Amino acid sequence: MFHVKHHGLRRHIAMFAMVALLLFAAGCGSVSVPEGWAAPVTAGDFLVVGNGDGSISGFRRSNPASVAWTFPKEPEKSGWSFFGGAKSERETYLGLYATPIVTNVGGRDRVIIATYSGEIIAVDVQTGQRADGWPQSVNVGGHVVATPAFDGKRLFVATHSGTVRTVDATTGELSPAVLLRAAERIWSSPTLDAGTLYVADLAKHVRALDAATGQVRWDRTLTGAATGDATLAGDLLLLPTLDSRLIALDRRTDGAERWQFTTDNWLWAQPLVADGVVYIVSTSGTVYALDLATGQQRWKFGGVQSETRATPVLLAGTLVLATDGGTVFGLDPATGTERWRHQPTEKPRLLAAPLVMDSTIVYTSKLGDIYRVTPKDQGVVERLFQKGS
Amino acid sequence: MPIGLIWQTALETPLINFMIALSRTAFDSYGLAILLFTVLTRVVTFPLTLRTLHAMKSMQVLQPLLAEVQKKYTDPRRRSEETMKLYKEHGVNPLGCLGPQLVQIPIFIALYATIRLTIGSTPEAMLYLSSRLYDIEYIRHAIPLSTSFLGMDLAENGSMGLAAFVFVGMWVQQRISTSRASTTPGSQQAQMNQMMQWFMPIFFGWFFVLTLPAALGLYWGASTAIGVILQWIFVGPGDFHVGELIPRNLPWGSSTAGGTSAVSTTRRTSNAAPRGGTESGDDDANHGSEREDSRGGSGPGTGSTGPGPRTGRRRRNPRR
Repeated sequence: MFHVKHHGLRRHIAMFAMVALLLFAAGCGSVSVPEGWAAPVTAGDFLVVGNGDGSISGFRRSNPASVAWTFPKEPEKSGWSFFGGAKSERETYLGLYATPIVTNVGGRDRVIIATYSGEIIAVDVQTGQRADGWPQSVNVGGHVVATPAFDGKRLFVATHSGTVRTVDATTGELSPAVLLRAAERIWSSPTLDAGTLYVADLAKHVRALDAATGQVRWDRTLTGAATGDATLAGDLLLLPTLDSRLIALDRRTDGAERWQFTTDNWLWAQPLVADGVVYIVSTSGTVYALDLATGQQRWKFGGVQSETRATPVLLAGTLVLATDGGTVFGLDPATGTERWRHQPTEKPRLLAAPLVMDSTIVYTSKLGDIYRVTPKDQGVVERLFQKGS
Repeated sequence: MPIGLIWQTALETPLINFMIALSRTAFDSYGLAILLFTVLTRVVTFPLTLRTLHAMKSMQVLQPLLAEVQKKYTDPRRRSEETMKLYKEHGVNPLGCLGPQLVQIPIFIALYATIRLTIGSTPEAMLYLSSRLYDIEYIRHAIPLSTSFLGMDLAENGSMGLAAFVFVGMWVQQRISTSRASTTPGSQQAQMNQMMQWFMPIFFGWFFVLTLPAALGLYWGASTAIGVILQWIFVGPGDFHVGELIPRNLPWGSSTAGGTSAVSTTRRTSNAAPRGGTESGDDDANHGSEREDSRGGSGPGTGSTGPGPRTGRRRRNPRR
């Protein structure tokens, strides 16, 4: 029953209910948390993979079922704090998208990782510790999604803030000068060739810069934003874009467009070029083979039907493709006919670009599990390492 | 069909596509799209809002009569029966104010999910978006959305300025809502009003603005501002004065009105004092029940239809 005070109380109860529901809704969402999809790399005798929790692990190539080291180490559990307390190193480094850069300094292999938080860290591959002489903190001042370009001495790091800065791979020294200030985020990895740095951003611009001075050699406006990595093929710069087009620019003639090809959905995966053919895959999973010179379609395969971001690989005469749903496909590169498909029961999310190692293809899942694909015959997909095992 | 799929198909996905189309239409500004969406939501829910505001006003009109009932009947059951009778006689639905608030819940939750997805602050969020877009070029090619608006990054946590805006808006809204409630000082209701007056603005200002994407804070701030304007137009400001927003101890605050401090005193008592009350704050505080009798001379026994024409403006006059 109601009485005079209940009107106000009901309003308050409704407000509390709304707050409770909103809190519930807030707790449900997690898409805004950066998770990362860094590709695995080999460094000396080690295979280095990202774990999806702000850490990387090193495995001996001869024994990829056993972790040799993990950086940073598991943080010690601290007591609950209302304000969350200080972030652990892993929380700081959460979201590793950029493929680690491998280099050798003083005879020791190191991997340099660029984290979403903007921290650039060098890790000694033998020990799994921060590399000697590397500063405690090197921060480029913006989230990093794109894999840095590397000229053997310097890293060219592009950021979410639209800047490109250089970091000395030996000392970790961050250059005070900003090489480029773009208007939007840069998620597509800068590509370096013969002293020219090609940078595409989300503001639909692609620029060619003098890698030494940052001077813009040419600047082209695209019809779509570029989030995927570009591929260099002779005179062409192949750029996948979010308006579903693959754009081929002539990098010798001020970036003039040679041809473009429209697909069924966004293009995020890096194009693969082999024997005069460009292989691309849309985010819907449709695979296209195009003539490199003309951009004409040779064939199309639409049987994947799953979100795809990983670059296709051509190995042992088979075009291999992995999806977000965990299925791995083997296609005939000449016709696009499906040869085989395998889906591990645990349905790993295979978004990271693959690594070709010892005549096999290595994929890492979002959780840090490692899979090996042997493409010949009917194809074999094996899980080499399960995180937490 | 699982409930999650229904939610996605029927509400979330259409809203995602609508927001992206709106953003493209609004000069590729997602911030402007959120403001347009807020106005649109308010227009669509306006009939409900109007019902609430009318219910609110009717409740205020009934306050003297309800207070009489409270005073007259000590037995809670009888009191409730008489209260319900009064509601029925005057055609007031005491739950009338709940509708728009309940309607806002699914809208807000869907918008929350939409903003997190459409703004694509992380690469995963943007990649996931590709599977949620309709096959319409106008929408597909609008991605990525620009996240800059009025110096804010809508994908990052809200700024202190936005938090302050939301806080002030909600504080004013709460203040106007409770400005004529006939509560006894120190009563549970009065304490609840007082608590809500501060709790809700602080909670929303802090949690929804400072810990979630600024885009959500922008929606909430704009929606609150529209709510305050509508309340002001259709219900009136009550005994609220803009001068109350200026802290008393600031040098420029005192000039706004000796007013400011006086208003603050009357505000506190106004929770206790009913509309039209001419007593001083002290009187109200000390004689909370007596003031009910002197209010406007109307009551259940007068045969009057109640102090309907008493608006906020009229109420403020005696205090001047």
